[in-house]
Amino acid sequence: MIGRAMRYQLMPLMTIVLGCGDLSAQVPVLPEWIHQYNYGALPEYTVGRPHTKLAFDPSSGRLYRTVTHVAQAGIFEVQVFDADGTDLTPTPALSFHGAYTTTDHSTNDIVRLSAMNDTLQAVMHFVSLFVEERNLNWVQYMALDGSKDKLLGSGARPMFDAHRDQLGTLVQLEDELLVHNPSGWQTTTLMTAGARRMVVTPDRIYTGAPPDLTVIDRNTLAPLPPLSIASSGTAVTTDLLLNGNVLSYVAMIGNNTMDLGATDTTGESIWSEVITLPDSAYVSGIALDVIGDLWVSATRVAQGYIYRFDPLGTLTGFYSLGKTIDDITTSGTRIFITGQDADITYGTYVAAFDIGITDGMSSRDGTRFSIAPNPATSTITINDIAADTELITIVDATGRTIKELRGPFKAMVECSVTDLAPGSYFLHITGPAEKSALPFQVAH
Amino acid sequence: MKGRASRTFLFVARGIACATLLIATTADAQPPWDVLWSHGQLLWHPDPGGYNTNHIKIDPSTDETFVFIKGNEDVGIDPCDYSYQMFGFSPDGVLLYGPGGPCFYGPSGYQYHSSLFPVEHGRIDVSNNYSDSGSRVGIAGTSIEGVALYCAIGVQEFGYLPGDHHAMLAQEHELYVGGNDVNCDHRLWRTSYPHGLSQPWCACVPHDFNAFELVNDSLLAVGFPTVTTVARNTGSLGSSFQLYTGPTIVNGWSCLVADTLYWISQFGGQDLHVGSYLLNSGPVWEVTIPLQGQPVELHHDAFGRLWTAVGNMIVWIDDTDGSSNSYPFGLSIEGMDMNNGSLVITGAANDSTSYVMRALVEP
Repeated sequence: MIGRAMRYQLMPLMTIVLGCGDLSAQVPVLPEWIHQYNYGALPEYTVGRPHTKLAFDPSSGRLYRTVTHVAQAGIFEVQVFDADGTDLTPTPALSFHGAYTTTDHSTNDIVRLSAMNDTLQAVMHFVSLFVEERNLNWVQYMALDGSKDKLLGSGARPMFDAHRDQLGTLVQLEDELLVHNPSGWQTTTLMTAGARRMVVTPDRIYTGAPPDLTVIDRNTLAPLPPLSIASSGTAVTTDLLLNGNVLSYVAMIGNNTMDLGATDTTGESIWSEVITLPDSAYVSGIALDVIGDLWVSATRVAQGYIYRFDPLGTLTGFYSLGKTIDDITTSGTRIFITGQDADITYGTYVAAFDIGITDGMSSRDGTRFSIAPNPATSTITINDIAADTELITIVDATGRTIKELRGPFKAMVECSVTDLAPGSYFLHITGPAEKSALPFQVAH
Repeated sequence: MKGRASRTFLFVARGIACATLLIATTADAQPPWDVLWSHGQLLWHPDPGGYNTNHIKIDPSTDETFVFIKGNEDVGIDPCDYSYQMFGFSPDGVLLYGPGGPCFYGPSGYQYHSSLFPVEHGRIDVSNNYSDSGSRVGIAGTSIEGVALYCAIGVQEFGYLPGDHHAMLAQEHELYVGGNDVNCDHRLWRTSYPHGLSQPWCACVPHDFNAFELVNDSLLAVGFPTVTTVARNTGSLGSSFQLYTGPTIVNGWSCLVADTLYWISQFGGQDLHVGSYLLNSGPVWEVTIPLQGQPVELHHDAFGRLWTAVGNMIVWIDDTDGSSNSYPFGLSIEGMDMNNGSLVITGAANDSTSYVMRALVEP
């Protein structure tokens, strides 16, 4: 069995420093909650092989974290929290098991963690440090009750991502996409050069790397015209996220450079940037919040960085942290990060920040209002609007303001959407002490 | 690629009523398996010789799967140069040991592993010496011949050619092994595991045999076509019967379900030859399946199907009439086992790597 880590009291010790190039304007930002753990020991920190990973399950609102267990080689402890930080980890504890290791010559990593419907998906590497042919890679699924589901392995071929839906399981290797049917049989192999991550919708698979992202029909597996995106070099890693019809990408190019931007799914570029990371830092994760802002975490030994871009690509925040940031994810209104905690010997942390950290206004409380119906065809009804709300704004997926309504408002407001094109939108509510947003869809 | 299904009745005998239609069908369907786990591209340099390459078994006591994959002469790359790499997998498919872990080394010169049988928390194996056709028997790698299998009549040699398998069965602490020795072409040894629980004996069976089945106080030494009954306690030979009329075939397999003995071999050295025999009665059905090569074991599921493989074809057969389906998988299927509704297979994924798959057999 896995020993539980010592849990510290909630400690508001961690500060994120708002930089933006003006040190005199640095404002410490406190996390909404943080848990710190002393594991007694941790593997030596190695760039590119994080000890902690995060996944937020949008269907259940639970946050999952895995931690490399040192006392028991090849075991990854799984912790469960709600969005408010309450520890929901069941007893006995959950864990993923890596492969047999000969401690000095091999190791296990979780390279990708995701969650949906309270089922965890872990993409794992077993790495022989000396003989590549002995490496193993696989994806495994585990329910919240600890029961394990299918395990699909690619042997020594590096695996980077996976996705399971009603059509089966997609396994992303370095240059191949393996298609398994719901019974687990591999039925097709598709070539996807340079791919590391994929985004899958009911009708599309987006994968590949700059300058041409691969697009595949999810049902027929037929190739579709690729999406051309700006590129400053050969990508080492590429992360993708989809929001409505906007595909955000972050590609690590090497020499501490990342290409990032957004394109719509027709191939029209929305924005693109080339950012130079601090020396030795690499991209460790990306997340899209409820208002369409892109968050990018980067890390190096004992140091973490967060970049925030609005939907039009403006860098609206740059934060540094005296801890590694192994991974970043979001509930929509909160950003969660995890990593190794330099403040504690052998420590790790998991923390949550409101997405309003840039301007200090809470966005989380905004979730108390609601939008119905969603998707909407002709009219949306906005319920439970705060009495002091000053402005209601509808913004499309590219960040353009489409409509503005100015207060005062009653608790319920109806708004026509017949003049909006079908697609994804955000409804922002702004008041003197609150800024919040919810996504909705228009489908005529 | 398409699977194939066909059956050809050769004869029906001894009062067992069944149809004599000649039916041939074709099927595209995959086997009714829900894949529990799979690993591809294991061990980059399997033995190119094609002899007794991969073996796979499920430990009935732990539900763990263990696999032997033969490495080749790329010294310094494969973790088990010239020998067998052992892999172990938990019931949910996590690697328990290997690669880079245990190697199966027989005595010097014993390069080919020919038979493997799972026992509680371990295995019993037979390895061959390719050069002189000698063999050894080991429990979890520890040699036991010469101690309990000694017949006091000559030198023990179990030898078969590489590619053949020894009849072997371990059950209820009794271990039975078939093979050759200098005084008997078709020797049958019995010993116990652990040692000392039952009286060892050896017998000379007057025909080739490749499989064993336990029936009450008797052991069936299953040859193709001749089956001989042997007393478990004494090794004395009893009656014999014929599974079919035809030439002797080696490398067949059998599967006993209640009082029905299912069997499979090659027909004329080419097509699969499958049959059902009701003990103390006679043949029920017998068919040929137009798939060439040596079959890989024979297992029976809870839904009335027999499972085997030949070449790169997974084959499943209706136990009531012998009608069959097949489905191609990988480059070859070299090992198969079944336990408690789960079926495991291993073989070559391509020219240079192996795979392992475990699936739950569905209705």
